[in-house]
Amino acid sequence: MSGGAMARLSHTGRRRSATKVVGLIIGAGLIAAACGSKSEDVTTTTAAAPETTAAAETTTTTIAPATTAAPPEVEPVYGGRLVVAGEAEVANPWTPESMQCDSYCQMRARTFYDPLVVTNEDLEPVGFLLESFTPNEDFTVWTLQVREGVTFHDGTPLDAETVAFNLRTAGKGILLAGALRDVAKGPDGEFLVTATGPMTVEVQMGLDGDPSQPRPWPTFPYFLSGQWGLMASKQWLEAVKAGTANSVDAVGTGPFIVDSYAPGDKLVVKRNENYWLTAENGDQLPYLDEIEFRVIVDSQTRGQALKAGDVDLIATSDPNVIKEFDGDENFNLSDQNRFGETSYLLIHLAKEGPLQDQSVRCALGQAIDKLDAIEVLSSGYVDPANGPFSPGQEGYLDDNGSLPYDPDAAAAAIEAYEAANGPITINYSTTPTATNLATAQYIQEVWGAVGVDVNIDQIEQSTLITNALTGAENFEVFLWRNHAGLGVDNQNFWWNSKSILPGFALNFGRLADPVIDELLFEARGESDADVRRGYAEDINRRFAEQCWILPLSFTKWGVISSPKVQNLGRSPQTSGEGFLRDGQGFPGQVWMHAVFVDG
Amino acid sequence: MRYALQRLGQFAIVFVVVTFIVLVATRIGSEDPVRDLAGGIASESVLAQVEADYPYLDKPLVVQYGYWLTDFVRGDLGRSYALSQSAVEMFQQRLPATFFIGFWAIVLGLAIAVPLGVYSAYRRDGWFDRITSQVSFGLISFPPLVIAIFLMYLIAVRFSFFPVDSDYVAPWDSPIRHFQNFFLPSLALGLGLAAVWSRLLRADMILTLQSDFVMLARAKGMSPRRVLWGHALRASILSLVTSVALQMSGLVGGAVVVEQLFALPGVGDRLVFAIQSNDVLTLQAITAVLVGIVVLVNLGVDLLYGIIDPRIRAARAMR
Amino acid sequence: MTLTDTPSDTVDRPVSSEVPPAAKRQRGRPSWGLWIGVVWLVTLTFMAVFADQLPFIRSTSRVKGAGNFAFGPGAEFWFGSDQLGRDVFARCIYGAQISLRIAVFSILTGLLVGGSLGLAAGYFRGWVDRLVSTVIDVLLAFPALIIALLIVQRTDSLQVSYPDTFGWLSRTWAITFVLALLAIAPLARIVRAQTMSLREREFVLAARSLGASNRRILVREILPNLVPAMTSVLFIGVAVLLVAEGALAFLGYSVKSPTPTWGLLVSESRQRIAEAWWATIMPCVMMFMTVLSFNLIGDRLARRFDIREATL
Repeated sequence: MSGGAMARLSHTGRRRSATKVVGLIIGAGLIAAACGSKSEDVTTTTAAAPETTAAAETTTTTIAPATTAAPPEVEPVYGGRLVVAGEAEVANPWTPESMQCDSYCQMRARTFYDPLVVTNEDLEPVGFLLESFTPNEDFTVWTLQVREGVTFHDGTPLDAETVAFNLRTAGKGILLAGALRDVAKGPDGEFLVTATGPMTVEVQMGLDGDPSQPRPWPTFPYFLSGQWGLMASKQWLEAVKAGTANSVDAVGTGPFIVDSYAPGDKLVVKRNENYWLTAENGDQLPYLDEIEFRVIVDSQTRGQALKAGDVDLIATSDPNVIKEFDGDENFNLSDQNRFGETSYLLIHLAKEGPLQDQSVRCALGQAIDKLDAIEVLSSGYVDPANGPFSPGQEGYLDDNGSLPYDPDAAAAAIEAYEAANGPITINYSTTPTATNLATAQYIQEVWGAVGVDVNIDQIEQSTLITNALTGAENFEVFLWRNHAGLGVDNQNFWWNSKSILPGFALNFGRLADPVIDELLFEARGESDADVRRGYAEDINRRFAEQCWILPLSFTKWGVISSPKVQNLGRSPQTSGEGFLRDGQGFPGQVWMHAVFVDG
Repeated sequence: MRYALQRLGQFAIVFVVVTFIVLVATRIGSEDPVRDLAGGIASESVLAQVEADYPYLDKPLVVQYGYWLTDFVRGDLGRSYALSQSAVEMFQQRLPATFFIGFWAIVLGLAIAVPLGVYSAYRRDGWFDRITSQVSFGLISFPPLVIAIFLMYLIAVRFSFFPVDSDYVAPWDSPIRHFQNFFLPSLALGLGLAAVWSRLLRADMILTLQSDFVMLARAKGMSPRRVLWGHALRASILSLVTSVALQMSGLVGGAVVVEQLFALPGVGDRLVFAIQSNDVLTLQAITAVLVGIVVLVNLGVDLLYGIIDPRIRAARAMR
Repeated sequence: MTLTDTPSDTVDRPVSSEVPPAAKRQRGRPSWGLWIGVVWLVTLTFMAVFADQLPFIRSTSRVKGAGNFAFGPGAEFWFGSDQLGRDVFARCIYGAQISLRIAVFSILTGLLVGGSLGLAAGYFRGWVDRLVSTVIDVLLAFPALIIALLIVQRTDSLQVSYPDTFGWLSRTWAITFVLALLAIAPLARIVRAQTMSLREREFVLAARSLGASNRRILVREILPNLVPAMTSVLFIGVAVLLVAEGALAFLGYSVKSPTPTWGLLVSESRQRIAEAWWATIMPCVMMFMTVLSFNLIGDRLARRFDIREATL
């Protein structure tokens, strides 16, 4: 692998949906007591040198390869059909520039698109459509070597020109642009991503896009493993722009080809006979003939559909559903909760009102008994969170100085504020799913107990996200699930004040903290992992001190499949060594390249 | 004939008024009409496309309605930009499912109601009549939502024969799978309909059975069965047919709920999504089509009256 | 089910208004059905009104230790506990307050408006009738659910955008308004049909021949004869609106949680019905019994007063 920089996971342009965040609130006391050693193990390994991430793998329980560690007893067979169900439909399908790609979108898109870069089991970036990626001495220019012999579904070849075109076009998309702020732009506003040879592309870094201020960006390759790195046929993209092709008829290089698409209902993809990747034993991939991706919004219904045999594989972050399959012999459950997401209450910090006051925010945080909430909402199935970093992530701290549960102190603080400023009413937005609603009502009650009136708004998921992105009038607080990945640099655009544009901000909370801005800036340019981790931990402490967000619990994702589904987590790397990591920062995502069905 | 045209005119007015109100309700007070139509977070290219397709969004609502109506009549039903799909395509994908739910609900309803109603009327106050009355009364009090929930959880979850996440399968593609997917949802709606209709038919039949021509037929020695099914039923069909037409509107609401519950990819399901995500164009298209269908059915029934009952034809001719 | 499909057994024939007397004396069901309805409604209303005072009705706040459906129906919690540990029985009773209040208020408003329209149309005929009939047709052509969802959405955004003028427009008011609106057309139709037939009766003709003014006839002759029939429609109307509110709540467009309405209770715990059936089934049963009671009473009244509904 030629990345040079430390292997920390990072992602770009990934959209998180607020839906399933329900039962994750607080309350991991039981879990902590039962498996207390777990968190300790992880902290010790992250404190040590990064090489021990492999050791971490053996002590923690997650990731598909760990649970299906034994080599497959069944020989892979060609043919067969898989039915998958996920939680939400995607908006603006399927061009990499426009699609609002959440977890399920990533799962589907990566069957017909390949990314330039992926991560291996050691969480290092490796080339996928790229042969290699090489930085210059100070990480201000990256040279990408495009793999030979790859063709798109429409027959056009993958070359430097196409890669550069994709990166330049998609990078301008409103959702991705924020993450790519430090890629240099020319005077015409176009990214300085140029094809310098038939198969080489050069990317130049510049602080806030200014090429005259070269910016060291050691972890840049990670951004090529996300939505930005998905490659589509240039011919097709141009046709879509011209109006002669449909944006839903995606043309990529992936193992499957889009066959039919009924939004809100199902997407069917069929095998790409000329796929460029082969398995270790020489088998031409993929094995499956066809995959049908359905959308089932209700997590319980999704679970029932799996039980009934209507679908073969589901991904969910609803602990009440995962719990049902935990220990069930008839199904395979693989957790994806390492370097995972945090569920927290996201606060709109730019809106005039009580939430701009730190004492109010912290009081609201202290009013929530996380252990109790987790107990009530998911029977203690998840762990409480103290900050935006989950165990194993860069910046995770066992104790970051966050305030403990103290309803009396909270009530006192609220009272003091209300005496000076009048009564507090807060708008809490939630999606209408049962568990999210239950969470909303729980929060409403505990906040009511300390003197704050809460008004619950039930809003459909994509509208909720739109409200957050545009800073709508009624957007004040909502439950959010985000920040998976290993490195703090991946979170840069979520917390950077430069991500705030008038009328649009990926930084939903409109967080504008100069301390955090500075730390993020330093972290991006730092190539020493230990120093970088220090910055991340400082960010963690700052979040806790200012109560910018109110963390509740660490999200658990589960991918559950019927026993006939084989070879999950064993899609091969291009090098032939090791496997593609499922859920690499997109919890709930599964690679389909080497999956086959038996029976 | 003149009557038919008159009614057609009336219904056209109704259609126009209703679709106009919907347009106003969805577009009034919009600060950025282009963005509203594009839906959600739209990229520059999508916004440009919307502008190109709809250059008149700053004009008064009446003018916008004029454009919308002309488009509609010409077959351009609009587009969902957020989902990259034209409304026509969406209907092609989803209307069959909704149609079959309604269709089978009506068929089931009639299949249950007609024999029950006729026999109850025939053997009035007998044990059959009494039990049927109780049961149908109870069924009427059961909201379709609740019936659907019961069916879902008592049957679909337990017996894998009926899927939990339903799919649209055309009856000509696979009758069995079509049945699997549509039986429970249609039953949920059909039971309520059957209850209403059996009572209606019963009441009507009782009156018919006491009228002169029935007594004459019996006097002539016609078998009870022939009298019942051949003569009396035909006379009572009228109120049943009216009721079917009147129920169309309610059926739409029922279909929405049932589609949500059984996850059937129909128009009702898309309608709810359109409302929640403020997908203006899709909303207008679906409402227009649904209202059009309801209105046409009512018109058809109205005209059918004239054909079925000569007295009505005469009465109309005299107006 | 709509208001025009009353469970009533009497149906107006298209042309003849002569109904053989035998048909009126329907003995379709034993009168104990009626008594069930009355007893249920009285008990329910009593409990709903005095919910705060009655000792066996807890408050609707969380009970520690009862979370995540810990309790099924039993001595501790009559109807079991729900996800947050709240007493399902208590929520059902408090839900009765809200659901009934909304339904009754809406039907009364609908009757006021729709009844006036129907009265005018049925009595004055001519252009008034044609105008009102067109309005009714338009209202009836609207798929009820779409109207309801649209209006609720609009009122929501009004409330947010203009909190000074529309701050009071909570969901409760919005739902009441919507349901009333939906009730207007069917009620107008029924009243119109009733008025039309009453208009031709002898006592009205007599009054007219004596030179009574229209107003006098309407108030003195027609209205009093309408009232008994309308009571029946009211009862059935409440039943229909309760069901309608349930459907709206299922889609998330009814009164905001945590205020309990039966529709909300039914849809809230629906997904967990496999493990915790009581949280959904109990509110279903409450709703069913109440709707049944209203239907029973309404139907009995209808048969008593021989309602005529328009079939043309």
